[in-house]
Amino acid sequence: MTFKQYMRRAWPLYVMILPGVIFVLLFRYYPMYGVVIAFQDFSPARGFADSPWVGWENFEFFFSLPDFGRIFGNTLFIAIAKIVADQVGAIILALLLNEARILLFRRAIQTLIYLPYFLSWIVLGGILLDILAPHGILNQAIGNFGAPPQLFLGSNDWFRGTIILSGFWKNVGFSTIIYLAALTAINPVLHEAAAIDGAGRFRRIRHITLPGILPTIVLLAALSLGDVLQAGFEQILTLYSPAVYRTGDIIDTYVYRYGLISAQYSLAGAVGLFKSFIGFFLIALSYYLADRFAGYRIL
Amino acid sequence: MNKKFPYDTSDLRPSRRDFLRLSGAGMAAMMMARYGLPPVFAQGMGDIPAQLHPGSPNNSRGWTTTLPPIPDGMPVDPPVTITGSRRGPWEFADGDDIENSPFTRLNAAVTGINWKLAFSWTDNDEEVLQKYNLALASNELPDFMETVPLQIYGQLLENDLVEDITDVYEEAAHPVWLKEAMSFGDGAAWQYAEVDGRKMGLPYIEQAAQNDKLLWIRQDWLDAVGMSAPTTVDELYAVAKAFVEADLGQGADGSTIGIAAANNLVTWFSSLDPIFGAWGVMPGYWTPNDSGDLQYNSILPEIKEVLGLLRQWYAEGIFAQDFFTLRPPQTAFGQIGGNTCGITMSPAFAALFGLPDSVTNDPEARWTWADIPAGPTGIKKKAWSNPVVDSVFCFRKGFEHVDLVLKQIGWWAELLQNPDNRFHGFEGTDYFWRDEAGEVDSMGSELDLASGYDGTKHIWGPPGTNGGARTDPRFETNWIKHRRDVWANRPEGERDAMMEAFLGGDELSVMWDDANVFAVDRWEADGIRNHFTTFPTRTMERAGSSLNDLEAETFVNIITGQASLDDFDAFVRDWRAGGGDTITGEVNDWWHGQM
Repeated sequence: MTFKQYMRRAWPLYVMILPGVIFVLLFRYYPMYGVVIAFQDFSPARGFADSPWVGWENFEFFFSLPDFGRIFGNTLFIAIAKIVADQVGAIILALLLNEARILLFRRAIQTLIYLPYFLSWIVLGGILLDILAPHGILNQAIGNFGAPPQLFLGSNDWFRGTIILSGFWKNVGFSTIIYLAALTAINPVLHEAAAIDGAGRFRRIRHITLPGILPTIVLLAALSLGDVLQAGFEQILTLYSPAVYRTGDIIDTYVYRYGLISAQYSLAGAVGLFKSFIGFFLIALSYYLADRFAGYRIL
Repeated sequence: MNKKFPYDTSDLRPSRRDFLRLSGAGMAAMMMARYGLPPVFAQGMGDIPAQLHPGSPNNSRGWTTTLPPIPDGMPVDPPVTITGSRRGPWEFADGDDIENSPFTRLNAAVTGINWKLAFSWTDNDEEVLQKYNLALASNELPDFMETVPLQIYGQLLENDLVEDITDVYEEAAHPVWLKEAMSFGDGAAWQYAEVDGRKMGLPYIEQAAQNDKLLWIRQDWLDAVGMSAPTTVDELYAVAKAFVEADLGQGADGSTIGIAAANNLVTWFSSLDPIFGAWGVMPGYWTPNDSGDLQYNSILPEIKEVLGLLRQWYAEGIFAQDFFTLRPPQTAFGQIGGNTCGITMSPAFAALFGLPDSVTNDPEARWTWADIPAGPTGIKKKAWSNPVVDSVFCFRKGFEHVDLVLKQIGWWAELLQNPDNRFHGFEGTDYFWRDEAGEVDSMGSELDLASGYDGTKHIWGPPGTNGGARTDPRFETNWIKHRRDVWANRPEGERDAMMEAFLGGDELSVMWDDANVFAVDRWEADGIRNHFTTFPTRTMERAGSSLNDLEAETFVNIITGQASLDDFDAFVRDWRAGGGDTITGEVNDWWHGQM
């Protein structure tokens, strides 16, 4: 088949992906030239062209800040904990739902855990602030067991846990659906055969279901490496306060305070670029691992 | 040095004679208003149609608002359209909006100016910066820029984007209501708006003593525990402790707290600044020390003492457990309004903000106010409200109608600020304005006036800015005095509806009047002033955000017991090493350069 023949047949496909390509070029690649502000003393009024160049100064300043280690550590800790909690929780939930016999029950639970995913953090944040307040419903509940009220959002002991659990609550439904989809792809004949051979539910889960979705687990785990620096900007911005900067301040909230509130665009740009740089390697690594262990390739 | 504070503005008010001299029309208007002439009078005001006229002349006991004389050459023909930015929020009656309301319609008839909204914001801390930054980055600056924050203003100046209004101001500014009103404090009004002797915009001036704190306290709770209003910090603690122990508040058992506090220790409502003031210091402020240098207060040993005290109070349940997550309005409507707290150190306007909710939710609630408490050595100080806000009204470079805008501002400044004009909205309008907490503040529908709406949120220019900009810092106090000295002396039968409404205010609005007059009287003597009043220095821009984080975090964690009191010493070390010493040097370079 010559190129001409190929194009004659395939051109509608190229037309179909054209809008997507234009979108990516226009909104993802075109704005990239803005990273130059990380190497400038940028002032919006002077623009990209006329702001003076300062080399690595912004990066040096950021790395020399006493806060650097702290926000980097917080970001890693919260993001990794979220990925682990999210994946493990989703697998367990998917397995449980898969075993549920009554279809209505299964659908209802699936919908309920999926629901928070569609709410924005601003809305959920308001709800959480109420639930977790010193005299809120959660503290009243634990108060009934004689426990003293806890400052879930104001104490450095609780803040990370609150963030991880509330993030889990919001996102787990979405991941669960992916695993449920993978579960439906397992051939029911295998289950029937095992049942005839006398395998109980747990044995079937261990020897049929889990191996069946293993590629999906590996794939999602590998791809989530790219999120290792995404600890959840909107969530933390909605819920944090200066009292929990020590355990809850992440790169994104820091950049927000510096960049938008204090108008230090160049510094914020440098931090963002640093984050993207690390993220780039993590994503490359995650695609390599996905290919190596799950046979997932883009090209 | 060009800074004499606190100001004395007693000579700023135009006397009655000055006022009469202004114009024959003004005099005639005032005379008619005084003798309650019929509403037909409205038609006598030049070309202003009666239906655009403010006031309530069609009501049986209504009142007439007197319009100031129309400025020379106005209304301009053909009308001009000017774009401007504006601080919200607002909500208008059906069909009206910010560009078309009774205010803008009257304005168009008087001046020939039609306003077009370029952009608006609600949150005056972060959102305002985003909006101006966007306008700056996209190079779409409006003709008239309302309350430009200092850092944006600095960028505008640096890049020559602001119109120099020095000459046109001389020509077009109202001699009394702009020039004279803003000449107080030996030029202090112009500390931001004037750069190298040139006027680059108009200052943003607030009510004098706007945020100066008083001690607001529940009288019925005092009676219940058999104590009297505290005069010292120790007594304040004793009373707060007694309130907590007696658990007098509404709500769940044990939810009563002693003193309302918010996410910033020094703030505009439910502030703790009088406690720091009792030790003669103010966190975040720069004050001169014995050797004449400016000293950053937050790192002084007295602060550690106060933090230690607050830490002890917090442990004993004097403050809400999560006080550091509450914004000031949340304390007003949640703790004060919800009657879980009987003490707040808040400005005079607390009588209209928070306290009414308290009384609504608990009809038994009786509030009173007292002076702030004195410290162990008898010091009694509070954060001084600078009436000059660190933001400026600017004009776009090349904008050709600065003179028209200045004339408009002068006209509205006179209409709104001169008590003799008796402006209080328009008959039949029923506009609502939502404040930060989403509460609705009804604006003078017919005779529902007692809420004290001053009509200052609906028209472009300083006297119409949401947030209370004006040209005369003592305007509110002058209104109160005018009502008490002039209106109250009229025999009851001769008062019109507006006078009745103002004079017959309920307990809280009378309390607001008293507290306001008292706060303005103490304004000059009791305030600790932040002497650093210019653009952030180079190192402040770089390291300031980080240092502020460190300070906020350390202080709150010391108070809540998440850090030890001695962490304060580590904070001082880190602050100084992390750029604080450099900042101190830069601040003093500026300070000594001022002399």
